[in-house]
Amino acid sequence: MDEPISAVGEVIAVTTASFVAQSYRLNESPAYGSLVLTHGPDGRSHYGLCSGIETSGIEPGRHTMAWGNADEAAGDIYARQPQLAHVLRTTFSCVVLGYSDPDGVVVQRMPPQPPRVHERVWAASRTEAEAFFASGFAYLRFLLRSGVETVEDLIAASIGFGYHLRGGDYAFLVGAGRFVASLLADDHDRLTAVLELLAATEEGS
Amino acid sequence: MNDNARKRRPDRTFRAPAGAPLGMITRGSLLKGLQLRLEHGTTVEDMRVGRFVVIEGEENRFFCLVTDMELGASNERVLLDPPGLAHPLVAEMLRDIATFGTVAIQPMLMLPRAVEDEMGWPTKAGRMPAPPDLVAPQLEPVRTIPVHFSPVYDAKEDDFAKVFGAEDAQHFAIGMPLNMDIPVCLDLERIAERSNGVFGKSGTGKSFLTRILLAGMISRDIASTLVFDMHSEYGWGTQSEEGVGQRRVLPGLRHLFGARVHVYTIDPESSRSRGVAVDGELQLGLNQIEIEDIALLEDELDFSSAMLDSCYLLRSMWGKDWLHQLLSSDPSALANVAEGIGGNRSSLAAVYRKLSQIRDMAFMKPCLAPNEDRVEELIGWLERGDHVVLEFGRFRRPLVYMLVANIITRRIYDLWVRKTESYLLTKQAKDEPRRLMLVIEEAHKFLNPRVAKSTSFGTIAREMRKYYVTLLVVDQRPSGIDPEVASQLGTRLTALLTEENDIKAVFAGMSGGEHLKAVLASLDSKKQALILGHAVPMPVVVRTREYDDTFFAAMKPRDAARRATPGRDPLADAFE
Repeated sequence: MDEPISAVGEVIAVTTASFVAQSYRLNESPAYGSLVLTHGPDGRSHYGLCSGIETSGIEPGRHTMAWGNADEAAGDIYARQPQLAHVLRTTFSCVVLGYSDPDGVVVQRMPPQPPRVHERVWAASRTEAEAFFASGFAYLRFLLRSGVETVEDLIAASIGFGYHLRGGDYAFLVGAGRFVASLLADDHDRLTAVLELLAATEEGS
Repeated sequence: MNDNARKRRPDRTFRAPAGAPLGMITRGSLLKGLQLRLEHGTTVEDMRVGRFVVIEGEENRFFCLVTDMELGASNERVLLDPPGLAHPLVAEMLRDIATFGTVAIQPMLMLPRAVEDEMGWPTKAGRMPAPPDLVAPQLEPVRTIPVHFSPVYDAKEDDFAKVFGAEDAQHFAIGMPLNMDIPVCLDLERIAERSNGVFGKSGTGKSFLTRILLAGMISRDIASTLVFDMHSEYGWGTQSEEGVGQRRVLPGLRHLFGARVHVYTIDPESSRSRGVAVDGELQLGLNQIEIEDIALLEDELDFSSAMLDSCYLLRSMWGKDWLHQLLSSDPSALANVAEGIGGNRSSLAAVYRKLSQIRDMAFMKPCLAPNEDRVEELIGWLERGDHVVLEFGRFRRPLVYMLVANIITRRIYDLWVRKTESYLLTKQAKDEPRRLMLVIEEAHKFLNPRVAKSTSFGTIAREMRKYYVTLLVVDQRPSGIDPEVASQLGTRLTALLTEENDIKAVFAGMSGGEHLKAVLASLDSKKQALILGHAVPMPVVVRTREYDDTFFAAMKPRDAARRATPGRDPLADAFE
């Protein structure tokens, strides 16, 4: 059984291939490389992959200043300065990876419509994540063209997410690595970077 | 699949045989061969040079031989910066994608699919039985190549049976393919049609291969055979070569086929000491030796052409009996003889000295009367369809072997030419000469470029096919054989050869031979052979049939097999 989970944030900007969401809690966002979902009123759920996390001031143009000083004793700054939670916000950006219709079948493909702004964002449940990874590795292609700067790490992180989700599934890891190898056949340096991260994932597990 | 989808895309799934393909064809040409890219899960180490594979093309099936293998990489950088031993996982991920194995395969035969469906290939409607007369003749030489990405499969039993047929009166199983236990059959009629060669380095099983082939010829009664048996190993028993500890005596052709094989010897003493019975002791007379025989022995006797000229002069003086006359002369009289023929005295002395060794051979008589002539009898057996093994006993010197073989062969040659000509005249079936196969060892000595043109062996190899006589040359140095003769050999059965020139010589006169060089060089040193040429539809590597009890039992004539008591050792039967 899936553990009941609550929404982690809310969509605040969308494009065809990506969306940005704001976390409901400061400094809390889905993990980098993890799967998130939005559920539309038509029963269609959009899958996204958390590809970047940012915390900054809520007022554009206003720079955040350092609060403490060098000699200050340890302790949570947020406990001592409760107003911070009201002037800062955490946002995370997601690459759209696919969608599932009410019948639950996951398609790794650009959705006809992106999620709507103000839809709530959920971390994918175990069942949803497993259904997603069972539908193949085509999503890695979306990551490669997403323009995310840290795409090698993102690919490795998302594969690592699936690997751990499936209880350290070695065949899954190799299959994903082979898919990356065929995608990056012309770019040996990036390929090596991803594969070595994957090898580290396996050793670290 | 719904109806619309079927309209768009033809359903070809019924064509695929069971089992996963080895890979697919990615590039290639008709001349240079095709390239098979291996699927994930199959590595180059699973493949073997010489293996028989089948390509499922769009319209044809192609029967092919693996000739080479190569390691490839999609990106040179992978090779400059290999994943290394520290990252086995990375290496595994790259395998078959960034790094992959390719296999060179040579298409040898093709079978149009339309024909094949008639022949009983799996069709949508299920498997149809093949009409028996539709089998082998429909195989065509390769005239096209398969389309891109045609899947390649390991050959199945069916495929071997389609190409190499099954044993029958004309087809004889010579061995089994490398990776399967089903027979590969030779077409013995085609063997008998032309001269053939058995090659291989010393100790690679040439004589076993020859013996098996001869057993096939005799058991199917395709042609008479005359074996010039240099090492006395074909007639009666021979030692197996299974290592010193397990040596045992294996039965020879006489054991297997009884009185249909006649064993003659020129060295009765050796036969007695080996305890084998012979059907006849052969003697030759100096009056039977002609200058052509001596010319063949030029190397062995260390004869110069001036000495040969002296022989011609002697013959013109003394006639047919010249050699006897010369060798019975007193050495001191040679000066007079030289004067008489107008030749050089020292040259004549050398001729005398060198030819003396012929006189000293035990089986050589000064003059043989026609009633003592066993050669006549020997040839008589051959005419009547029996088989003869001529043992040389201790006379293993090439000099003796070549001399005797040449004298006998010359007579056979003359006789068969006469018989053929009379047959052509009468055109009566009863006058058709019996086909005859002569087996000679150390063939390069008879057929080297210098002597091949003048000996009867050279003539037989080149043209005696028309006169019902062919050669089976057994040799370890095919490169020594006159290329003109080598290129006429119909079928070549070759065990391992490593010397570059020998390998080249085996493929002389065969198109596409260069692709098979790697195959030949990679044979096991024992019990494996590459067979190519006239008697097989395509070149094939076989594990030679075992020369064992099963084989002996299979060689027995039908009625004898019925007589054999069940449960008895077939070898004991064979020795009876």
